[in-house]
Amino acid sequence: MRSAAAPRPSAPGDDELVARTAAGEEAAFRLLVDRWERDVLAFLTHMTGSRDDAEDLAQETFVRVFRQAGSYRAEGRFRSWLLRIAGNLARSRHRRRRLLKWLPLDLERHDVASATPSADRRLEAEQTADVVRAAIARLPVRQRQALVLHRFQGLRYVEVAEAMGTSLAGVESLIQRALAGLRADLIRRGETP
Amino acid sequence: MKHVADRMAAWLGGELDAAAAASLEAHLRGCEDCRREAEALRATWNALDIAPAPLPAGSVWPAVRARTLGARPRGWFFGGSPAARGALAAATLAVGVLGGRLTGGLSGPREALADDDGNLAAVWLEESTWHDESGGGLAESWLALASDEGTADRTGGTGGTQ
Repeated sequence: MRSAAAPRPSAPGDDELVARTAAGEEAAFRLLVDRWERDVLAFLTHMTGSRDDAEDLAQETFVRVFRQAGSYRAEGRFRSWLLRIAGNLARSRHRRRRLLKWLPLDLERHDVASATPSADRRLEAEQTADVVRAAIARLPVRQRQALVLHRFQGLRYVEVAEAMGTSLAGVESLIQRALAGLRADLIRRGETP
Repeated sequence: MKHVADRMAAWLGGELDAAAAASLEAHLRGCEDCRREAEALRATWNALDIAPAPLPAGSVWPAVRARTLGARPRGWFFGGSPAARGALAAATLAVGVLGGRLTGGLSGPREALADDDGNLAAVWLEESTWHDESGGGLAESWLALASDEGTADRTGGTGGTQ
């Protein structure tokens, strides 16, 4: 399930657009944002469980892309670089909120679950999706990041490792634990998958 | 060698090479417990085939443009170079967090800052190292806690901090 929009053959590649962005070319930067914002928003929506947070962090992600464009190494790995920035921001916000509220995880988990719209007014498919999304949002943040990058953004393990700055074995372990944790969580809540 | 139970997510995700996948599948044929576990994890894996979460309407471009190409010079800290901000933020975080806080059990803000495994030092390392590459992190956020400037910079979508 790869959601990234590959550039058309005639379209400039990401590396070229980053270089032109670094030179201050607005059209290039805009093309880069247009090309990748849905991917970034989808990733951050899964990571944060909140559309508002996802939009806020997506803005911040692209601001960082602009500021760091000059130091980007053009190796055809823009997507990993982009998602690494987005993932770091999501994790940083997660920590910052925990710090600000001094909330134990359980309370934070409750907030995520209670933010889910009332299920009894939803269609069954939407209810199921909400339950699964809430369970994903309750995963420890690194497990969530690895799972979302792989399962929803379609990154291979090697790309996830690159985007998270960790090893291949580390990614496998994170995703394995995420899947087992999801299953245990869903069972605990009477939602046997 | 990992036990098959530790490789099931990689198997379900198509990340095992042909030999490893064949080996795992052969094991499953002969081991009822593992087969049951694999079926359970496959059900969870398949439950992730959900419709994408609704995304925000509209584009982030106007806000991003306003904060980059349309931005005016910013304050002394957030207008500085990433390296300078990183060094200052790192020093502040070192004083605030590492100064006597890395020892003993985690509680309160230390627990909030630690990663999933309760490892505060790893978070510190990560937050201070990815700064150079993507321009900020908790170290910067730490300073922003004591500064309305930083908060406004993050929450505002129009022009950043003056």
